[in-house]
Amino acid sequence: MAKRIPEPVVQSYREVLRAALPASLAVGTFAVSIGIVARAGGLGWTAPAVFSATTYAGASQVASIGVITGGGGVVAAIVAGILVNLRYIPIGISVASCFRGSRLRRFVECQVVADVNWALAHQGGGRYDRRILLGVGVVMWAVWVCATVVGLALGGIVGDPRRFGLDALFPALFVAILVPQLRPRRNALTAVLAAGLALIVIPFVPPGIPILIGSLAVIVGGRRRA
Amino acid sequence: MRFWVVVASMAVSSMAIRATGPLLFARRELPGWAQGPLALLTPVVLAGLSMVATFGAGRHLVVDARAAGVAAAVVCVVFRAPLLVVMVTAAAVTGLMRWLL
Repeated sequence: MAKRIPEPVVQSYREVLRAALPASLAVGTFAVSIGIVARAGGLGWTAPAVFSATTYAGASQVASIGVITGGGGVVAAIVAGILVNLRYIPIGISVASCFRGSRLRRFVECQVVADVNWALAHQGGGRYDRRILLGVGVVMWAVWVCATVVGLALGGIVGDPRRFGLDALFPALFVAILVPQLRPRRNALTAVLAAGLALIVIPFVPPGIPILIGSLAVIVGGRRRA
Repeated sequence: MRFWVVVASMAVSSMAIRATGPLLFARRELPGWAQGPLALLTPVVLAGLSMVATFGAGRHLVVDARAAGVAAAVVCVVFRAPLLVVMVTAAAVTGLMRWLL
């Protein structure tokens, strides 16, 4: 019998970079698309770039930009963006133990938490790898901002980014990260319940809320076995 | 100018929302009843995000070229293709379907 040596989950920062590469492709093309849409919507250069750097949340940026370029009001655009972002409250609670040190340090570090690095950092059973969370997060943030600027530059040249199927990259990435997390069976059943709930409510609630309603599935799935 | 107001408000609110968990829950153990549900949060949020990103269009449910691309991605994932292959396939199939339809 070989002795069991507790292995670190991630060996080196090289592995962090390896995890960041495919994620950066999806995140980067998403940001390029946002840049293109923002430029086409006449929002200028600086504001969309600052938006990416400070909000760093694709779905909520899309929601706000969509409302504004669709002729909606400022308040509606802000409310839409916030609703889409609310999932970061439970997400933040789930990774709270990854952050250490002073309040200021925790505040700054947690700003790089996004869907993709959060999901990649999940080691199962609610444990998260701090190095993946922060390492991939910082790389993704840099890619996010640069790619937005590239998109702004491309806006007006390439037309609709959906022509190249780029809008399928994000769901494909989510599915690819999801599938290995469907074990044990309880995870799969809860995920199916969440998917169903989210789909059913899409026509009835504002964007962003379906994901929150879907996450209520954890209440059913997370009960202790009788 | 209107958009700058949106950008500033979103920046402040996103930072606050992101910091809620790490600032309020960092130093204390979560109660036992919360740990089961939180352990399931990643697959559950990913399931919701993939559904909304595949079939959502604002407040409408649609089945369009994305569904074909994501289906192709699922096949790639099941056959353990590398992540880059999964994603390039998804975009290629989606773009192709859109061009055909």
